[in-house]
Amino acid sequence: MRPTDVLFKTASVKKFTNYRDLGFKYKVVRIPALKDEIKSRQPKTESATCVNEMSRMMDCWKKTDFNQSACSKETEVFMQCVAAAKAASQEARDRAAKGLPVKGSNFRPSKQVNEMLARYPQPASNLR
Amino acid sequence: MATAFKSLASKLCGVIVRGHLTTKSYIPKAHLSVYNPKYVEPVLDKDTLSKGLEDDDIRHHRPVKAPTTDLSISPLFYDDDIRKFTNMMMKGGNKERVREITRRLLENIKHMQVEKYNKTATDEEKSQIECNPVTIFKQAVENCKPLLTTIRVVKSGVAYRVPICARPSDQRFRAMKWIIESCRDKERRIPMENKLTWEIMDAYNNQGKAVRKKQEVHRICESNRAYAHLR
Repeated sequence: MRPTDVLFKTASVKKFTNYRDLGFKYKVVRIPALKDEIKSRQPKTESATCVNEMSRMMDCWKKTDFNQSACSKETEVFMQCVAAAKAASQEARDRAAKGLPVKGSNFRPSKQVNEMLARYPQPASNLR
Repeated sequence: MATAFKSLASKLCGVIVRGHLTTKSYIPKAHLSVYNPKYVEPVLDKDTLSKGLEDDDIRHHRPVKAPTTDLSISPLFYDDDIRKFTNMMMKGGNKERVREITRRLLENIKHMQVEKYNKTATDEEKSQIECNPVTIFKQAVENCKPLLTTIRVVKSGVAYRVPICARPSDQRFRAMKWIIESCRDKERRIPMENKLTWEIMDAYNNQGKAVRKKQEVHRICESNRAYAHLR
């Protein structure tokens, strides 16, 4: 039961201090203002690349008793895949260094966001 | 003015670096160098030297580094692979000895191949015999290079051996190490250069201990293929 004003006047309820009027409406636990920084977040680690190509090459090796010259085609496919994966990761690193978002995403890297937020700091408090 | 100079410098440096990489030369690592960064690399390639410098070349007014001892002793060591191989073979800083071994090794290969060449009758067979010892050496190292290696990955308290594509520098190191180690295992009385000659000729023909070691590594990778996605 919530104590109404009338009830609150009675002496029996007055003894419950937790219903007392504290003189303010809200207790401010955290200041309602945005911070000047966000959590630093590492880009997601890449999952294993070229696994299919690798297993195809291993199949060929097993068939030909680990004779590499007999599996030149599979090896070439694998090497191409590795080169492509390497180029992609390099590009991703370059983009991160330039402060561009990851491909297929609109989110800027956390480091750059922090730099921008630090340039235009938020007011200390929005309370009136 | 400054930007023009910078672009020129970068262009020229590009030429210098490219020249070094495509032909044969050696660039020490920048962070290990005791030279002022303004010093430029020496040019050792005779074709490049005979061309001379252009009027706007940066090397007109820049000091040039001295070539390393290896490079001034023999043009054999202009080659990065041969220099690496020699250094890896060295024990206790006895470089003079290993330089001599490398020289004799290539000499032995040359003798063997020329002998074969002279003994064959037909021109067709003769054309198939490679007489350049440096080419044979490089092909032998190439044949010993492992494509895959395993790394140790710990997932939830269990260590897995995960096959990955080996880095080029790692591939070269492994190949040369295996060649040298397999020779060290052989009869001690035989000179190193002779043992190396046999091993390298074997590796050139995709046989021998070093090539078998490579296949062993590939076997290990193959048996651990189920963990390839754990990387």
